[in-house]
Amino acid sequence: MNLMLIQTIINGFLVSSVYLIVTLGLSLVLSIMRIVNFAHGEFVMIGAYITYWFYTLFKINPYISLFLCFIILFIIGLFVYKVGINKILDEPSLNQVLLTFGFSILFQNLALILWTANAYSLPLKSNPIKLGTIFLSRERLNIFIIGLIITLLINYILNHTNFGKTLLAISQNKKAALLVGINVTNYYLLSFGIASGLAGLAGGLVSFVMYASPFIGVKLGLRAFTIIVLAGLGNINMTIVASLILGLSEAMISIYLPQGSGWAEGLSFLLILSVLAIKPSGIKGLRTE
Amino acid sequence: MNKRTLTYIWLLTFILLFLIPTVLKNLYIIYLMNGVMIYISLTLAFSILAKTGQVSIGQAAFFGAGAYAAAIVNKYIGFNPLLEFIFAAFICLIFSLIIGSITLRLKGIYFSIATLSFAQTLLVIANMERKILGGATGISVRPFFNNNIYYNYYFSIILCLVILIASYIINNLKLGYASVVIRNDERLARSIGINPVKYKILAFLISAVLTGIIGSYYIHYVTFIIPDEIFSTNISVSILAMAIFGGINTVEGPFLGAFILKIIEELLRLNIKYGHLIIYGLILIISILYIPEGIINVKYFSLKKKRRQ
Repeated sequence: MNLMLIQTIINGFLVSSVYLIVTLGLSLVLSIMRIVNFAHGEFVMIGAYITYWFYTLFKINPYISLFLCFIILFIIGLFVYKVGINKILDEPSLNQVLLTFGFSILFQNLALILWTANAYSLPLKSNPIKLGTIFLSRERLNIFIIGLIITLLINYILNHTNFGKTLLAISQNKKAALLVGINVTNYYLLSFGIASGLAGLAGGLVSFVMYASPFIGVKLGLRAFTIIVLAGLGNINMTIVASLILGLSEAMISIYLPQGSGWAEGLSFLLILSVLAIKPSGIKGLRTE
Repeated sequence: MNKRTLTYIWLLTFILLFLIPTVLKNLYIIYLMNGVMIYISLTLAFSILAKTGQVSIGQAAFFGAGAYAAAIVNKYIGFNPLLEFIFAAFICLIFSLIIGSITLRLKGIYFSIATLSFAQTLLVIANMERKILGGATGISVRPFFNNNIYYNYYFSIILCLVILIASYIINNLKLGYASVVIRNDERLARSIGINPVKYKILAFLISAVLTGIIGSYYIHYVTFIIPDEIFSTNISVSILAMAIFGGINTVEGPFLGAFILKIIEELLRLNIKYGHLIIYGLILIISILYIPEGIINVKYFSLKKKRRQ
């Protein structure tokens, strides 16, 4: 097989773990609270900036920053929930979209004001691992492993702990959950915080292999939506498969098509539209009223 | 406020708008007001769709598509405003028909995601395609009225007036009443024989076509397309915020919202180099949380009281 092809497949494979973590947080909020958080991508963006600035200003190891990203974005998430999300839970989806989109614009422009439109990348310079004639970037490998660990951890928490089972109960039937004495508000708050924290952590990982800029939020957010549309809700295995599909096909397009990295941006839209055209009833868990 | 007073207010408003160039000889203000009129038109066009409860967060897609349609006609066939408008309308009709018929049957959120992603996609295509669309450098277009800002301004006012009247007419047609019912309760709409999908698609088509036509006029005003500007998220965002801030369930609301916010944006733009659009994020959040019906429905503006909803 062609060497470049193998290299491309490996790169796409490794990057899709970032997409996966971005999507996990979004999917968590969506399946539990039935809210699409358009600001999720901006949380990722903030995470990327945190890692960059902590490294540049205080020489903090980016891998340690990942924890800080989670904690800081957890707090920002709680704040956003308390200020806004909390008040529109029962309102029409129009208002929910507009509110979270408002937060997205707010954070994006805040980043523009603070750090201008420039892209900052971490000056990580580790030697790639050589496997025969194939090169493996150490950072990509690391983010893949971290992504894998986090996915397994979330899967375990959701399926094997009391906390996860409670969340499942709420997502299946909110009223019934209230009736058996579950404090739904607290669980909402906590899961929104965790989802935001995950976004921050994903942002930290993004800064390893990409860069921090005010506009990466939109890009990654859109990819996460695509993965959710492809995979449906509440099924981690399908989410993994969908992330792989998106990551691999983007890597392929950007290598094999002329000016491919540009065209790869359009792939998300094509996927969204064709999935919706093929499955007009909507994806499980998000069916039309 | 009754119908007659409202008519007088509109007459007065438009007379004042027409008089601005003769009273104020300040070129900067004319340019600013031209921008305001264009944004009012865009916001009114957006509101036709928003009345059904659907949010398109990629209106820039149709604005840009219209602009490119006009530029292509201008490039290959020659300067022909009528043909350009028709072609722009046609392109936007096709695009909105495809997106609408696929996503408007589903929950509103799919539509929002699809429109957002559509705008991003068109931006990529416009930046990449060199032969026809000119790539990142764009296409230049012959200006209307020899680039005379006064005539451009008058044309903008007339365009705005046409869309305003169209909005009132639509409000009094079945589409207008159906939109209100669909936004409030889709199940109710179905039970009284309104087909929500049909009216949502219809509203989307009208809104997209009008936005496209505005885009094809706009490109003759700026005379040059830059893909990153014409498909910018900023356009979609500002239209959204203007409509919501004003109050989408009226016609007066979006007009007022666009008028106020565009001027505020301009003042901010002069003072903040990057990120002056933060105002739209704030306005969206505050509007949704505290004045979801828009400023037009705040007590001082008792316009809505006697209007049928």
